Amino acid sequence: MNNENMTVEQESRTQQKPKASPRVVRPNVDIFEDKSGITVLADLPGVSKEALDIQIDNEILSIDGRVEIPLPEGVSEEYGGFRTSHYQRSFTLSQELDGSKVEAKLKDGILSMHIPKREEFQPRKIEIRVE
Amino acid sequence: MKGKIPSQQEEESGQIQRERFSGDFHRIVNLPDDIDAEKVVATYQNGVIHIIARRRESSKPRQITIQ
Repeated sequence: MNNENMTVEQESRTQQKPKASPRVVRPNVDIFEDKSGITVLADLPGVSKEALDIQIDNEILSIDGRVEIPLPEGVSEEYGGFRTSHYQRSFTLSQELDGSKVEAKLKDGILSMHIPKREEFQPRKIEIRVE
Repeated sequence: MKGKIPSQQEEESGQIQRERFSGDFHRIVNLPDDIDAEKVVATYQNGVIHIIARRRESSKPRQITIQ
């Protein structure tokens, strides 16, 4: 990455102040950059499409997902490896990213988002005319 | 339980952040003796595997009628 601040992501601290509830966790993410923009992958196991909310407000992209794991009636958690009930995380998009064109997919509990660079930041080929 | 999480980095892309696990995973959960191995049901949804293992009928508590 030759120009880091040109690219992405400083996480906004505002939304992550000392946990309001111990059951809210930050999902792990991978972030990649290519010529066209950035791709964010987030682990959200147990979150269905209906229970996932992604919003962009003032260049802040927030992910909010509820875990819904149906337990049969009368069954209690014996081995609580999966007690999270809420995933939350937010990112500040840099100027060059176009927040209005975010594409999001959810598959097998993994959220994949592509955020393109604004057109003026996309690489362009300049045609050379022969005269 | 065994599985693999493929690494999803695309070619020609720079990695900015990497927190997600990728690779093989393996986990063993010990079950009580009275589980009916024939009747274990597993479903997979939204990245969560849900395995239901029931006790054998013969080991369930039952009422004894007094004659």
